[in-house]
Amino acid sequence: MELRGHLDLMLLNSVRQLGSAHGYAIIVALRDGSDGVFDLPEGTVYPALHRLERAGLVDSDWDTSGPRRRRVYRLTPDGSAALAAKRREWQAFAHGMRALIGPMTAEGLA
Amino acid sequence: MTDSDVDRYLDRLFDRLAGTGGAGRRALIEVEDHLRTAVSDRVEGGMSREDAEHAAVASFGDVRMVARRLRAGYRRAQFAVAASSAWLVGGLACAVAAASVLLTVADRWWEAMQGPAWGDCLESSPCDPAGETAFLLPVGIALAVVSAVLLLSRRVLQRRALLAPSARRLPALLAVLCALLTPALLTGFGNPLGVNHAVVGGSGPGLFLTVVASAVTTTATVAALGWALLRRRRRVQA
Repeated sequence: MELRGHLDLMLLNSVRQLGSAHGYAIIVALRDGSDGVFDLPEGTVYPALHRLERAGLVDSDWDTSGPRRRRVYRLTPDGSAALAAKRREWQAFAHGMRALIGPMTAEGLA
Repeated sequence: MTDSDVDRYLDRLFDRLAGTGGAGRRALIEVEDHLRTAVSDRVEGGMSREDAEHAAVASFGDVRMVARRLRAGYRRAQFAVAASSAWLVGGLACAVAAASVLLTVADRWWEAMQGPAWGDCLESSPCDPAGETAFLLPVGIALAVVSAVLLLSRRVLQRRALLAPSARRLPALLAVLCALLTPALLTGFGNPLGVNHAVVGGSGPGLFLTVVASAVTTTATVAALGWALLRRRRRVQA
């Protein structure tokens, strides 16, 4: 599935839901939360997380409480605002697309 | 004893991230943690360690693709931070220029109210406050509008994640610049100790402009320092 352009929204949403999480947990949340639909190459998530961090939308820090050092990500206030804006954009897009191609039905999917 | 799939993957990624410094080192630590956690999960799920390592590496993606994306991200980030910093400095420079021009207008109006012997309005070289302000006031207002547009649009774009934040050290650099500007202004407008001379009719600008300009740069220094401390505090709290 083509995810370009939607990855930021998906990652910001996962980080918000998890509160504070390392990359692996975010990827698992993405895969499980989408019923396995978004099973993207895991290596693509870290460059995206780093990009979001440089944009000031997530913040990260080392967690040294476990056996291994882990980078833990959390949403910043700017990240929350960006997530809200991206959600609105996505809802408008989905609304328009639904109006265009019609509601999803069992026959439509077949 | 031969290297495992995970070790070989990490070695190849290490080679491909050469030259990326701390950012690359951090990425390697994250990738290693990810792969070892993924292997543990699969082993707990009943896979053999060998199969688990093979599957974890396969689902992480081709090492060349991962390294290429990480490296591209660092390059783009450097450019984006530089562009964002330049945008901010441009906006602030316009704001400072606007404040400077509008203060000059205020100074001219003040001199006009005080009479012809005040400040640099000498009988031998009379001022033309009306003529000067007719030119300066629109320039000052235009600069203020440009500054507001630059700073507000930058803020909006940042909130929509379309623009990177400025360089981490920019507030401290601005504080130093403003701090240096204060003595430069004072010495540029004449000997500070001789300000009274200017007030009573010597050459150079009046006390109003000298003091206010210095106060503006001092305030800017304090504001930039406050901004730097606030950013640092936010980072520490996070």
